[in-house]
Amino acid sequence: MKNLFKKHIGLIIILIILLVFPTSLSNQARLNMRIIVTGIAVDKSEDGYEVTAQIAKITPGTNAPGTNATIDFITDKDDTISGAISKLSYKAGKVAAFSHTNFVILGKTLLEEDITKCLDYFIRDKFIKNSALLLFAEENAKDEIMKTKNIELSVGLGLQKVYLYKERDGDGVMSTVLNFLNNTKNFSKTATASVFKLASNEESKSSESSGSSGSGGSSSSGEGSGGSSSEGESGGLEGSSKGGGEGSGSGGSTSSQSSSSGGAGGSGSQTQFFMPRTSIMCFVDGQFAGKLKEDKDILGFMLFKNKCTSIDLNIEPKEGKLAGEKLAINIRNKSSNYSVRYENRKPCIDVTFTINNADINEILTKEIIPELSEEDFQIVIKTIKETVSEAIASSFITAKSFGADIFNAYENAYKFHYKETTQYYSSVEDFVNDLKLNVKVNVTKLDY
Amino acid sequence: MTCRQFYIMIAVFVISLKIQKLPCFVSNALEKDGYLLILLYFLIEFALICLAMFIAKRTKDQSYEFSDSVVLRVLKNLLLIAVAFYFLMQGVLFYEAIQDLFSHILFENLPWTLFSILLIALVFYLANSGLKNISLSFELYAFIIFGSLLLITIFGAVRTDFSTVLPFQTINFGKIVSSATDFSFWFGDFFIVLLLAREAKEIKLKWTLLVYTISMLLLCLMYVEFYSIYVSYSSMQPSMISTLSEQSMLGVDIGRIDWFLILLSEIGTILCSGVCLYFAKKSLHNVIPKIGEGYILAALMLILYLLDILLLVDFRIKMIVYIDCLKYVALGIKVVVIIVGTILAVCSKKSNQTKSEKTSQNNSAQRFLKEEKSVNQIERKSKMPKLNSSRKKKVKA
Amino acid sequence: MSQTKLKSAKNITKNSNSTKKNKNSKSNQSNSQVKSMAKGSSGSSSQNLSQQISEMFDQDNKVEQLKINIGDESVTLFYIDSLIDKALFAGGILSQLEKLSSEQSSNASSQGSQISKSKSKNKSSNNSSGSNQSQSQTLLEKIKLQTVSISGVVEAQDVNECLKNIFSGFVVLVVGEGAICYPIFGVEKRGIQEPPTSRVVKGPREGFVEDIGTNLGLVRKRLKTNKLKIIDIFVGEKTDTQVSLVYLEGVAKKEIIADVKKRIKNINIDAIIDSYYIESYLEEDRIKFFRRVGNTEKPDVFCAKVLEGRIGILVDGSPISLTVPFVLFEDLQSSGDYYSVPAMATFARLMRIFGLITAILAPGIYVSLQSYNYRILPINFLIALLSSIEGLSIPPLIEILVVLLLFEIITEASLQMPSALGMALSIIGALALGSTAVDAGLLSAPSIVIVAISSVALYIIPDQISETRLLRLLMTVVGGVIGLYGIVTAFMILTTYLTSMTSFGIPYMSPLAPSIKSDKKDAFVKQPVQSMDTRPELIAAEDKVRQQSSSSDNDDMSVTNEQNDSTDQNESEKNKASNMKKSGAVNQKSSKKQNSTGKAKSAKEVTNDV
Repeated sequence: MKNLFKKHIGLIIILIILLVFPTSLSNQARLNMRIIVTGIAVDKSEDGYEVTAQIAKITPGTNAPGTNATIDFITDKDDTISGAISKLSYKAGKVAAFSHTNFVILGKTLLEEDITKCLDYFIRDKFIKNSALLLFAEENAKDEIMKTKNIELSVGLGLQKVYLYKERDGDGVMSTVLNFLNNTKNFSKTATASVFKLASNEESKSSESSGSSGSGGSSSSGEGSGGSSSEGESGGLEGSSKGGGEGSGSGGSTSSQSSSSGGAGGSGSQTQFFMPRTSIMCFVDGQFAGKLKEDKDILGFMLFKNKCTSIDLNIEPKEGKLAGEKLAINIRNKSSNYSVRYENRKPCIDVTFTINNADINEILTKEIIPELSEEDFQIVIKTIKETVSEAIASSFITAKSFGADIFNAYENAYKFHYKETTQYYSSVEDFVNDLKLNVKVNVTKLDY
Repeated sequence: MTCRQFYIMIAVFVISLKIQKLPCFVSNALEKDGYLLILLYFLIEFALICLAMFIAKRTKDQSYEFSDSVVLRVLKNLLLIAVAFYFLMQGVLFYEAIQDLFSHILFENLPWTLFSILLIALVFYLANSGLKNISLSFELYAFIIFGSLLLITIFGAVRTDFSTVLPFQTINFGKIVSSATDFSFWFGDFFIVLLLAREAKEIKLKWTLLVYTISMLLLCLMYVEFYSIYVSYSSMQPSMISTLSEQSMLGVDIGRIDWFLILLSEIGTILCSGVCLYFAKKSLHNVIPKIGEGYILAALMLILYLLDILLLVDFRIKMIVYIDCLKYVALGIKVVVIIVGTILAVCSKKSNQTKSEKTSQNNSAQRFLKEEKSVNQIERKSKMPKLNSSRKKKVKA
Repeated sequence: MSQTKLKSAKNITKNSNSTKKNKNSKSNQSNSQVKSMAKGSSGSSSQNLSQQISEMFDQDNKVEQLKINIGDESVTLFYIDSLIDKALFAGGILSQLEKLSSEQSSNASSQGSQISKSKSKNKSSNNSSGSNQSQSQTLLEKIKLQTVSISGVVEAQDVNECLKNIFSGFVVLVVGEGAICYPIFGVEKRGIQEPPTSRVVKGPREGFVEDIGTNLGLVRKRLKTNKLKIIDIFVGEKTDTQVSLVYLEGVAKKEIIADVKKRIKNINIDAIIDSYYIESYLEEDRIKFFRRVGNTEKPDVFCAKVLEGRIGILVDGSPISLTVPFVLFEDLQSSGDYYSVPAMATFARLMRIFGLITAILAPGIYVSLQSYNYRILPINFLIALLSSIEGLSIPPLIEILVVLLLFEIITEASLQMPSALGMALSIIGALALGSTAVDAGLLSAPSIVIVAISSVALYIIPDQISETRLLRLLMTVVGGVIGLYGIVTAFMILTTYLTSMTSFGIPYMSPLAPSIKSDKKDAFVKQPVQSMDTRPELIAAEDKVRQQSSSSDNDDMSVTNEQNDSTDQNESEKNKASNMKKSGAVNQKSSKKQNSTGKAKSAKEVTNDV
């Protein structure tokens, strides 16, 4: 048997290859017959679901990066999301490939029902990654996704990466479909996701006058968000619209430069688009609960989550030499811990926020202050602590107001104080209602 | 087989089968307590491995013909057929795991009926090349397989929240024990330890147990990571190994480059499939020695292929076959083997370990040469170029 | 008839132990009788011997015959004009014969002497057996004495030896029934140069040449020990090529030596032109994909391998020497590794492995990713790729195969083309392939880049080029047909095949499979010379110690332990205790036996003294 095999080994190999070769030719992916779908937007319509796919339309030839594709869209409707998506597949004459879909935007119309229903397709489908970014549109998801044509190609096609950088800069939350659904199903049943919005210059001007919130700060790319958040925070505890306006203005100038340099998205269009800072939506048990709109709330939430590498803070001391002056602090190294305990049968969450390394980036005064006195220094530290505490507390209170346990306190209590939790509380709502917050902020090192 | 090869094979065997679809089943049944099932089996098999090593040590020099009695012979043959069936089905399980990974996960639409021929050829080649070559292959790939698994585990650990296993108060031990029998086919590593220990030389119990412990702990860790990443959706994932590192690739922006690690770790699965088919072939050959091993193996591969394309086409059918039907068969075979093995070990005389064996060099190379010397001499003689006779004839003419 | 005689004569010659260069100790002492062993020959007259030799040739053989009368005896010289050194012939032989002749004539002036030259003419002279024989014996001795300036003189016993020596460039002088063969080979030979296939930045630059004598000299220059053994075997009916087996006694395994000897002796072919012929016979399978016999053109590499326990084979007429057994890892090693910093050598080896893998797998992976598994690619790269292949009409597999084919054509053409045209054709090739084909939409830029990288990486291991090229093609086809699944399975089949291979009983993939700790010092990682204290475990025989290492580094040594001289007995006992393996047997040799690794011993003595 061995000798027989050895003798005719070449023939056997050729036979195997000949057998599979014709079949393989018909089963190959043939990339140039594929459309790469990079994003999906879903809205609820009268007929069912309307799905819009963002596709990368390839420019043939050897081109420089950034010019080898443009963004295009295909839309279709069906009773189910799966049906609509399968209809999309052949609309452009090629097969749609969903393996590189990196974001999903859900429209406002879907908030009326349990959001986990429409996400079921995305978690089951084996081609769409369950690590795709989940975003929500304030209005129509289709309109929002279509605006991505007007921004830089790499940004438009790679929103997941953009939001990852935004999260690292403390400018938003990068919540994947999987994470969102897991959080919905966990003990706290609270999930968060960012709102996606592309604003134009005209819109921002109108928002300035109306004082609408949620447009404070801006970033066209993740890198710029650090600066913009500080400007967004310049209002501190004051009204956000002013800070928002200022932020958007300055952000607008930043983004206009980048969008003009991007070229591919904004060519031929005089209206320039940018990504303002948006709110964070909270869901409890799959139902929309509320938003964290204020900059302070978002700041507090980001500080608590501690997913950002560095974050900027604007403070205004109330006493000392720098009283009334604005300081910009950059927190580079920090840690956030929390634990839940029961105090007189009431839950209390203890948050310890430690700033290991921070810098005073800017002191907005007329005179030059090369060195701070010890007293002023302590006042600055005290103000930082107060600002951080207030931000965290503000986010907690806002979330609590619509019953969202954004700090996952119930989960923590359930895991580490199982007995008491099951004894005292049977539902998350009651727990959240009774939950108290205790914030402690430490500053280890502050440079200037 | 050297001791190093033995340890590597044990470690790969223990891990390979349990990182495919099993975690999804376990998560579905036990949710956050799936890792406890691993620990439970670890404790049981720890004792069984000690027993297996004892049996192997005592029966190492014994052949399968341990009795002249007709009844015992028939029983022996039945047992060997059962063992062959067990290893065939376990080989099918490994094979199915590979098929699942390639045809359902990595590829969009792979015509498996035709393309599986290549995998059949590979497994056949492995099983036919003998345990020596399989163990050399294990040794060759050891670093690659373990390195890939470790890297995947590390990637998975980046996104893991280890508090997912809490609270401990909700652990339902009864449920864990009852579902343990469902997955008996995936476990039972002592069986392979027993068979491999008979082939290897100078292996030590403590190292075997250490290797086994480390493998099971790594497995435990992977289960915890898997559940903590996917939580309620763990059971919906195609397999653990292909999804464990997926979430960690987000920020790196290099696509799914971890797929190469997954493919490298799957090499262990393919090798294990070869081992199972080898033992199935061996067992059957002991029942029907007249038929050549190659032919038996060819028949087994044909059965495997037909099972794969005709019976086990559907995921649900696979579950039914392995979890509902075969779990008791697997348990039964293992229990019988333990009992029979123990009886044989107790009844047999202590194997006469000669002084030279005890004081022989620990050098794996020398041991290898000693084993191969006699084989190679025969092989070399048969492989000598036979040109002379024909040419001499020409000269004479 | 003559051919039959020649063959039978050769058969008999093979059985005899005389070699070209052996200084025959019998020649001076036991040369009393000349045996004529040719078939059909009878009688013992001198005419018969020279006549017999003359009968072997005709005009077209171009064998010169020169008859000289010295005294009563006639001396016949047989030689081939184009093979001998004419100056040495005239000065070393003819002039001496003339002197002798004149002496004879002056001594026996009454008898008179005549020098006559006759070509192709046989003079038969009837000699009475007894006195004539002794006369010719005496004359033979005198001639030998007279021509003592020529070294390497051998005596021929029969016609066959004479014939062999004539064809080997000897001048055969027949006197009576005896014959003396003078080695005055005078064909031009190539000088020692750096071999083109193995260049080094640092290290020896000598290379073997076609002349086996020179090659043996290069080996002897490096291995100055009585343990060096050289066995000469003559192979090839028409070429009678000298094949020398070189090994170190006690270091090389006897079984392997016997095996190699047997295989070479069993070769029954008409001609051996190059060492590759021998290599083919040493291979275990006729149809081979991976070679199991190593080769090198460098004497330093050759000696290093012999010192590791391998058997070296030198073939006359070929500058490529062979070494057996051979393992795959030898191709990863370069001679330059041993003459440079270990860290750099390690880096170089890792690069070679990386290059080898790239060369074999890059096109296949590219095709498979494009055809089946594009999900693995990052989005930016995917878009760039799509942009390049947009509008291409051929499938990726065909495209890659076309590019591979073009590269192969260019490679082959560049080997053959004259240097004057090289520049022009390379420009055409680069332009045509590089930009024009891409601009025309026939090929895509990424495929050309991938194949170019793979082609460059091919040459990272020059000895494996042919295997790598074929494997690359195989992997490309498999990847294009079945994707990554096919590549994985094909790779596994390949590695399983490699692990099952042996080379003279040594596993082909050692020291990886089976894993040998001590040998891994020179596998992927190159450790410093001081760490290389043992020879390869599986290849070397009893004498595995290269240098005496410190006591803590003896975990895996299963070696003989040699006692030192009695003067160093105390130190030797300490070393013996430290070198003794826990369960190993200690092989004690007599104290009078010298350490084979003399240099190591002297280094140790120096160390001990310090």
